[in-house]
Amino acid sequence: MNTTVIPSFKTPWWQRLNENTWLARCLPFDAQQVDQLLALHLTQFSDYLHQVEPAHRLTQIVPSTVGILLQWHPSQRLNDESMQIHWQTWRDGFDGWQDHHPWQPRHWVVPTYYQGEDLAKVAQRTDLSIDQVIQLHSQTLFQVQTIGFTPGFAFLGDLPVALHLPRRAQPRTQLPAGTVAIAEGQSAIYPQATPGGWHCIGQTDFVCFDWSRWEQGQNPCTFRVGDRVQFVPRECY
Amino acid sequence: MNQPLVTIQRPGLQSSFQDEGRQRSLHWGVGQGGVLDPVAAKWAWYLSHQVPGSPLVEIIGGGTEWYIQHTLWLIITGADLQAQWWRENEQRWMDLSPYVRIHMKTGDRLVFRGSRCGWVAYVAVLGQWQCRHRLGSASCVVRESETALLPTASTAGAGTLRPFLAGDVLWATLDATQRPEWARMPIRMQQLNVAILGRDSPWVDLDQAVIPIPFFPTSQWFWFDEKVRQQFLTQRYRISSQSNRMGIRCDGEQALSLPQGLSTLSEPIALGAIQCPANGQPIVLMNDHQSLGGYPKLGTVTRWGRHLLAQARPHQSVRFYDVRDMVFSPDIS
Repeated sequence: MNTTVIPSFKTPWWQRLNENTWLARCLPFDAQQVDQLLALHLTQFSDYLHQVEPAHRLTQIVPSTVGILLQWHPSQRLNDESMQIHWQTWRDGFDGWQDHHPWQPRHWVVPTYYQGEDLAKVAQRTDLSIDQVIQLHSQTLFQVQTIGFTPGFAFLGDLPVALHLPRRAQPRTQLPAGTVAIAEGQSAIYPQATPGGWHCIGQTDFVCFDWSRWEQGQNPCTFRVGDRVQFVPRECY
Repeated sequence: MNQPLVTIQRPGLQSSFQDEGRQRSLHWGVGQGGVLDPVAAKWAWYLSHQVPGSPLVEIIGGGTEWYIQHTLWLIITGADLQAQWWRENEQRWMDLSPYVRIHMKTGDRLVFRGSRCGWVAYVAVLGQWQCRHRLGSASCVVRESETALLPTASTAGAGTLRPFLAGDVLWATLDATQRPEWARMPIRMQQLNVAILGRDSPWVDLDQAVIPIPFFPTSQWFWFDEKVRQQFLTQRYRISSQSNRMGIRCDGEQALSLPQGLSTLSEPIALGAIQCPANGQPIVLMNDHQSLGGYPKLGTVTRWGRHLLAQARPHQSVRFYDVRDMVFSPDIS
């Protein structure tokens, strides 16, 4: 890892995490700001890797806002040099591939019942009326920043500053599937019943993750990084 | 032919199907799962003549009881969970040590009383366990399990969509043509093989008062204070009883102080990452780990280290050492 060069998508910092896992870090350790363009680049690059590398060789490709993790099958013996050679080959191929696969973010409309348990509390703590909270939340065009936590859980960015609240001090032990929630600068839909520390403001039957789609050769995860998401109150949908 | 072979009378602490792990899943937030102890699993695949990566039954901690419905060959590897075999036609119990291949008959019972040494055992069948697959893998990730959908004992999806419950039935396709040379050996002779396989088994390391865990100092290692790094390398850690397949929690006498000024942006997590959350007590993230995390990491445990940690019982002591200080690496598998 040459730390004299500022890491970027072109010149990442390579970290060998274990025998068969590498992390290409494209942001320095102390970066505080999300680079949305970099996140899109990394997601697109991971799409490319999904196509060119077979799953039994490169078993996990995890893009994020700071870099991309590559986990090889234990049978693949690599060292730092062969990893670099792979990276160079991929980078060359990716430039041509990108021309034929332009970035096409999708727009999702999520019908929502704004009847969450914390809706009144959120309104009280933000000094807004319940209608204003609903209006602010449903008029925002969210962007998928990252996917993680549970299957299909998307962190939706750019919640209006007026709705920013810290997470609940006492996380709920169980939030039902389809809960629409907010915390700090983000909003999210809970794809399955899990514990959660976010403020739930609504409920939706929008399907974020469907295991059975995988068997039909489709993407089981509805959202992709960069997609736009809009919540629409159920009454006027 | 696919047939019901085993009825689970008691599932124990946790038992489920595991294979090599899910591929290409973490970018959707789906855990990869897979066998906790890759070394013991390798022996199970080897001794059952299966393709490496086939589904195995993983038994954590014991307390398990099986009723055998049909004649079959079973292979047990990994921890010594005081396995006992009720032989119906001889009307007696027989103690089993791991790394044996046993021929069980209808009416027999297999009981794992509890850990004598190690924590995770694998049971393979001479043939192939039949189970549901999710995203191409039989591995059960408890966090994603659908206990609500499969509350009662059933066969469809048991072990994969959720851990086993009492009353579940295990199905398998038996390979009747395979009768290995091993099978003709008397069972005491088979147990001698433990000594041979012992080269690769964890007993040597697990008998120690403090189990040494090799790790790679990577990620944010150099962001930690020199004193904190020394403290982490010299301090003993006790395996917490709250550990599970997601993470092994290590309790040290003194909490580590976290570095300042680091990014809080979530970064992808590698298998075996040593995460240091706000309370300063490290967690080693195992197979069911989440895909992203924002806490600073001290490094990553090696494959051999994961094998040892998987077999370390709760309340056993461990210490971490830099893998570069290792003179001889037993990780030849």
